Amino acid sequence: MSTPSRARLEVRQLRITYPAGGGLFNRGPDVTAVDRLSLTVTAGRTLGLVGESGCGKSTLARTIVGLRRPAGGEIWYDGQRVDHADAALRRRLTAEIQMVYQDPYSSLNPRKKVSFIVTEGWRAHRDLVPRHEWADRTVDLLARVGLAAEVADRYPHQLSGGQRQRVGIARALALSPRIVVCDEPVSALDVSVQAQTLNLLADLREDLGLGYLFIAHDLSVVRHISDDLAVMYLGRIVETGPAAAVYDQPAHPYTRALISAAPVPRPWAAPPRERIVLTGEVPSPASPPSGCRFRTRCPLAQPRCAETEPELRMVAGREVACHYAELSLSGDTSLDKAVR
Amino acid sequence: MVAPPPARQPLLAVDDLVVSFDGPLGTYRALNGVSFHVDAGETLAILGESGSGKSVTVRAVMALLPRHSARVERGTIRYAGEEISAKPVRRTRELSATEIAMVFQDSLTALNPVVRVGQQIAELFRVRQRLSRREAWQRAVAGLDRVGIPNAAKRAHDYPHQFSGGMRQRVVIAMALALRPRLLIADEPTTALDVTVQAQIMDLLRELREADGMAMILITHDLGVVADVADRVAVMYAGTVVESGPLREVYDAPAHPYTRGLMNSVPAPDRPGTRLTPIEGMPPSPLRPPTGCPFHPRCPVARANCRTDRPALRIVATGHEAACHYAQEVMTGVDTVKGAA
Repeated sequence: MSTPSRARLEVRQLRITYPAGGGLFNRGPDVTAVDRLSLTVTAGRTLGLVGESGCGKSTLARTIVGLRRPAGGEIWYDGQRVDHADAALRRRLTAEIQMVYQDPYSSLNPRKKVSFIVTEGWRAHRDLVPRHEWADRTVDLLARVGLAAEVADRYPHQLSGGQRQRVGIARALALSPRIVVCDEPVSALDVSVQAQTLNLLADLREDLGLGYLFIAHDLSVVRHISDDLAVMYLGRIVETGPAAAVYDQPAHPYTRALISAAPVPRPWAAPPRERIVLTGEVPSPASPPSGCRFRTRCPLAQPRCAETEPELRMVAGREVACHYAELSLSGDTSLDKAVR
Repeated sequence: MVAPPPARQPLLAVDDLVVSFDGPLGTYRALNGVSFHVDAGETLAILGESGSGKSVTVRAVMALLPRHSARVERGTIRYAGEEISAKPVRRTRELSATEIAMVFQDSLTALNPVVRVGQQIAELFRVRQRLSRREAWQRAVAGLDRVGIPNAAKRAHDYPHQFSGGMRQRVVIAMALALRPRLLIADEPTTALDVTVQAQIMDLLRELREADGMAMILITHDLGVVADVADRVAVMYAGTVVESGPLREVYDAPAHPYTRGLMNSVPAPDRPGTRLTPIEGMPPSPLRPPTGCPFHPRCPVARANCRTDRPALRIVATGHEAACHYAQEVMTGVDTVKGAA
C-alpha cells in the first residue's frame, strides 16, 4: 500500500450516489452523481476543477470535507483512510480540511456576529486555541484576510459580498487547515472584488502552504489560479493534467468546446481561437448515455463511442478519456465547424 | 460639395435620467444623470457591476419601475424621436408590446408556469395581430423553430418547467421576437446558464439580430460577453454612465480609471498566475454618495478637484465619451499622477 506524503489528499475511484426521486415506496435505482473519480490535492498547489452545473463537482466537494458519505472508493489524507476514520482522526480532519463556500450570503449565520462565526471552529476544537486568546487571534485572522478589526462586531448583513467572502475565508483559516476546498469562491462576486479575492487566495497559498481544490465554472479564473486542471463531465473526469497542457492544448473534445465557448475580454488581442458551439445540453445524470457520456454532444463521435466507455489514458502529458484524443489534439477541423 | 449626411436620429435616446428610490433606510438616487443612445440596428452593451444602476436604467425606459417607491426626478427618454417619458405610461406599454421587447435573466419567472409555451406565444399574435387561433398557433410554432427548439411543433404543447434552462431562454427569446421588435433589451440573458449553453444563446441572439436588423441593448457584468456582440459599450458606475464609445476603443484605450480598473481585474488567459490588479475598496453606498466624482475614493489618479467637482461626460475621441477630469491622461496611459487621497 502506498503511503502518501504529508498533507496530501487523495481521492481514489470515488463513487457518490443519491436516491432517485419518486415516491416513498417506489424509489428507482440510485442516481450516480460521481463515478470512479480519482484526484490528488497537494499542499502548496492548486488543482482546478471545472465543469458545468450538474456535473457533480459540488457533490464531490461536500463528500471530500465529510458532509456526504461516498457509495464507493476511498479518500486518503496523510496516509490514512478518511472515509473510514475513527473519531480521533475525524476530529483532526475536520480541522485540516476546510471549505470555502460559493455563496457568501447563505453560508454565514445571519444572527451571529463575525467574531462568533470566525471562532466557531475553536468552540468545536477546544484544545486548539485557549479561550483567552480568541479575541486577539480573531483580529489577526481578520487582518490576514484584509478586514479591519471592527468587522468582528458586525453582522453579515452589514458587510458587502466581498467582505463576507473574506469572513468565510477567515473562518476556514481559523483551524490552520492544510487543504482548502474552494467551491466557486468568487463566482458570486463582482469582477473588481473577484480580483481582490483571487489575490488573497494566492497570497494565503504562498504564505501558509495551503493546498487548494478550486472548483469553478469560469475557466479564465481557474486557469489563473491553478497548477493542475481537471475537467468534469457528468460525474467523471474527462481530462486532467498540468494546467498549461490542458488549457493551452486541450485534448478532450469537451475541454476544447468549454475553452472555446468562454468569452474573453479582448478577443482581437488574443491569439486566434477555434470556436466550437456544442449542440444540446448536458444529459441528466439519472440516465447517462451509453459508452462515452459526452458522445451525444460530441462533434467527433463515432459508433464505437456508444459502445465502449473510454478510460483515462496518458496522451501528450495529460490524462484524457477519449477514444479519439489524438485526433482531437491534432485539431481536426471537423470540430471547428459549429453544428447546430 | 457633398450634401451633409442626414442628421441621424437615434432609435432610443436617454438624457440625464435621475431616478430615486424610497428605501427602508431613506431616499437614495439609483440613477444620477444617465445618458446614452442606441442607433437603429446597433448593439449597445451596458456594462456594470451589481448596484451600478444598469437594470434600473432599462426598467425606467420600459416604465417598469415600482410605482410606489421609485420616482423619475429628471431626464428624458426618446424613442424614434418621440419623447415617451412625457407621455402616459400607456404609450410605453404600447411600444413595449410591439416595438421594444425585453428578455430577462430569469426565464422561469418570465413565463406563465401553467400555460403551454405555444399558447403563450400564440396569445401575442391573437391580441396584437388579431390572427385566428389556428394561424397564431402556427406562427408560435414557427417562432419556436426559429430559435432552434428541436421538434417545435410537439414542444409547443409543453409547459415551461418541461424545458431545460437553455431551452427555456430560447422560448423567452422566441416570445420577445414574435412581433419583430426594432429594439431588444436583454438583461443578463445568459448569466444563469452554463458556458456552453451561453455560447449557443449568444450565437442565436447575434443571428436573429442580423436577420431582423434589430437594435439591441445588452445588459451584463461580463466583459467577455460584451466583446462578443457589442458595437458600442456604455460603462456604468454608481448610477451614472462614466464612459461610452465604440467597443474596441473603450476596451483598448479606456478613458475612465474605472473602466481601466475593470480591464485590469480580469485574469488574462495568456498570463496565468500573475498578480491581478484589482480596483481597491468597494462601490459607494447609494445612501452616502461621495462628493465630486463618484469614483474618486477608489481612483488611483484622483486629485483634489475630483473630491469637489463632479466631472460630466465629455468627448475624448470621435464617439467616445468619458466622465473624468483626467480622461486624456488615463487614455494615453500616463499613470504617474498619484492623488494624495
